[in-house]
Amino acid sequence: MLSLSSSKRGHHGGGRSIFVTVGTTKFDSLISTVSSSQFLSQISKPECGAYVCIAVQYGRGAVTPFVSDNTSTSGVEQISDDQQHDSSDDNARLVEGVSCSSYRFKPTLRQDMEAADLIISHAGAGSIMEGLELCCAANGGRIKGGDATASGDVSQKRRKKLVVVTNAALMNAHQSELADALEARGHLFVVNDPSELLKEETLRQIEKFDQIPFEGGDGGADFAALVDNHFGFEP
Amino acid sequence: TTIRSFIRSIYVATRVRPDLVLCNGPGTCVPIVMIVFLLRILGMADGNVVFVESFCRVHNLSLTGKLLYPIVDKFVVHWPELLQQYPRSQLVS
Repeated sequence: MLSLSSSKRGHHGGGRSIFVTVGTTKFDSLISTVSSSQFLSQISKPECGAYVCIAVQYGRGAVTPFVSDNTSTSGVEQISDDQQHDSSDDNARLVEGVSCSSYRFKPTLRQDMEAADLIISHAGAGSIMEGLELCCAANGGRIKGGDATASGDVSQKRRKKLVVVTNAALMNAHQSELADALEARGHLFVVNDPSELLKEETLRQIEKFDQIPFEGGDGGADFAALVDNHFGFEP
Repeated sequence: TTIRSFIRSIYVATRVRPDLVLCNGPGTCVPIVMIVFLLRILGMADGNVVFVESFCRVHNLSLTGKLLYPIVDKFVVHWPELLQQYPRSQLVS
């Protein structure tokens, strides 16, 4: 079974990989898009990143990526408690020359996010923060509050990036508020509809995007000082 | 259920008389904060409240934030965009 975390860079001959995550949610339009032949043939192009591997974490979605009879006419699958922890959902295949694998959930996505060169995430705050922390570590930024450690290999010209896809179907306007604010500061790349990912222009822009590391908070020291100060305690 | 939690909060707040209440956003904290504030006005207790707004709130406050902004002692936000609109708030990185 192929999975991102078990395939080090060397395994694919230095090939780059993508990790797609929707957290605990359901985002069928994104999953359909990233598992489509059109997307896979685009991402393997050199100007779009020359990716050779993609892993998709599809959460509660009704759409299962990379299976031949991909219909959702049976409606939403019931997610049982067992399936929540079923990480053997890996259905790995080679599509358009790209190694593809997928699963619903894992106890932690950290390893897969660490192994990927490009993270495509839904706009959930938790996923965004974890993605930013790992990109910062990989790209040589200083982490003040997080517990990721900086990797030594920052000489790589191709840096780790985070793309956030907002879901117009959700009523969460404040989801895109966070994503847009971070994009305005150069920390990630926002895509407002999954169909944008099918366009070569978008993929080229992502490839050229020079992400500024988000150095995060300070692990709470400021806040602790604020509360202490309020009560008159000296630091 | 709000009424029930309100009554329950009266019970908790008067029994515990917290010196400090830290809360971060969900509507569930509204009854407790209001009661702690009320007790202070009545001179029956001396609780302080520090409210931390959600990291996702960049340009405007959550409903809970809007409700509690006038009555809390410290109102913490994560984005400088909010400081202008809510001058009593403080920025924490």
